[in-house]
Amino acid sequence: MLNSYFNFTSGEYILELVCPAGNLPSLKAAVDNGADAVYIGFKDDTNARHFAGLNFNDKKALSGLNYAKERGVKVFAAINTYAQTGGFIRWQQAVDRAQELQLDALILADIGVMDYACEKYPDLRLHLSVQASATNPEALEFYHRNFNIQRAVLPRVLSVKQVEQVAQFSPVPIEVFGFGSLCVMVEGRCLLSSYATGRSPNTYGACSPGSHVQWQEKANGVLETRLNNVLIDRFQEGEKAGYPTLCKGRFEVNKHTFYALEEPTSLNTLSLLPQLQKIGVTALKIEGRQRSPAYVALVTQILRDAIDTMKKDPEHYQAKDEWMDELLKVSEGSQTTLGAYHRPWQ
Amino acid sequence: MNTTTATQDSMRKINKYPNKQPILPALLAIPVASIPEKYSAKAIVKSLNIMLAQSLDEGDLDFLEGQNVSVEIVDLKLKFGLSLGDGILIASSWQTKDSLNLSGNLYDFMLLASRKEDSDALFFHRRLKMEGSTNLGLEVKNLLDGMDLDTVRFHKLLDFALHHCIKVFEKLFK
Repeated sequence: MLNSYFNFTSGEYILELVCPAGNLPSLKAAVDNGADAVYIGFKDDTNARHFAGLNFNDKKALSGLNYAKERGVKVFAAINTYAQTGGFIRWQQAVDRAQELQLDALILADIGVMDYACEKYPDLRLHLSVQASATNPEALEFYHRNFNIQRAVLPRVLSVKQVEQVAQFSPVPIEVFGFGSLCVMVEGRCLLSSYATGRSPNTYGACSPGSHVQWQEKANGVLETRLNNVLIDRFQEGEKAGYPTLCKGRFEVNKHTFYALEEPTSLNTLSLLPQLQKIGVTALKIEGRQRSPAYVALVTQILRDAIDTMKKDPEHYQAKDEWMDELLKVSEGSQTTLGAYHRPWQ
Repeated sequence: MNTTTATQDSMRKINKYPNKQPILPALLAIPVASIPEKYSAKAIVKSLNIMLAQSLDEGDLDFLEGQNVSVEIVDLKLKFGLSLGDGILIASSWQTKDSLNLSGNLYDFMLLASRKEDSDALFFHRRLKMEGSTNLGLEVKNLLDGMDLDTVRFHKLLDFALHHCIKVFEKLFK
């Protein structure tokens, strides 16, 4: 596979660092701390972080784009939810807006939106979103052939071995998640949030929308989380909390109450960087457009440092303890994992 | 230093996250605690109106219209409420169950105001408490995160003061 992310001098793939920004200060924090690219969303349900007060209007997007471009950093727009019947015009407008702003790439999941974008703006660079849930080279070949996608973000359900197999035969460069909150990772197909609230990331752009979340701390220090009045978790005093999603709730199964689906946790791939580079991953994505500029600055800085250190000497590279400790502090549930990357049985 | 463990090389966890965050000694809170709530609330709201004049003009705080936010800075023994009326912030009385209730210690509020700490992380660690309307909480959080500091009057002075207060706190009250 030949692409612009291959450095012919060093013989290595370039691990481009793609960082999240939910607002202008976060975008600047990403740029200032070593991002190669920043991804943003517009202020509506066309992106999967559709939360109150978050995201970019045209003025802020333009201002962010200028800031990034002046410093040689790319800006992508995530238009990665599924267009709803009767509302397709919003997704068209989001694509038009991205074209007008001359953003560097669009991250899309819906084939209708992809079709609109590639027919109307053939020169617009398209990336396949993780929400499209494409896990094999044949699927990527389909998206490449029909919509001319230039890069694909792989779902987080794949092991490193599987990422390698996909990357080997993929017609386009591969991007994977490098750090951030984990969910059940049935990307683009998860309806758990809809089950409790009638709204999910694919349709409304948010998992557990704020309007349906209630936090309540009892006098004894126990914090209760409810989603549409359904109790989904109870944190003892001092116990670390996580996001109010159904997949990270504790449920009674066979008379035992526990994290039946998964614990609140964050993915951390620092220890895998040499492997990811070796198998030809071209970009590493940080999750968290809903987080603050302080998170973006910290995580971008550590990932930048780690990638640069690894590139200097991949064979002797080791994730530093101080990086891991700092990342733990901003991790959900205060724990991190290699997630599916590390599952030998897959 | 945190105690961290690596289980099977793939899982890392903070076993003992230090809950020893700097706390203001009770004695130092006495001067603030002795001021009647309505006066401290008025002073805070007045300062915020001066600092956030541009954001207020641009309508960035309009979402507070008809909503009451109650804030408690626990170790400072300071409680105040605020809302929006006629385009400016107005003081309201602190209530246990308001549209939105925020509470935490002074050190953590200073970390938030100086953008040194991520609000979700503080929430995960149970250092920042939020009850009431989650959407309103998100609006407030995203307003603070997204605000261009250059539009905040006296922000350089505030940054300088916060920076030094945080240092003093870490040195003296840990």
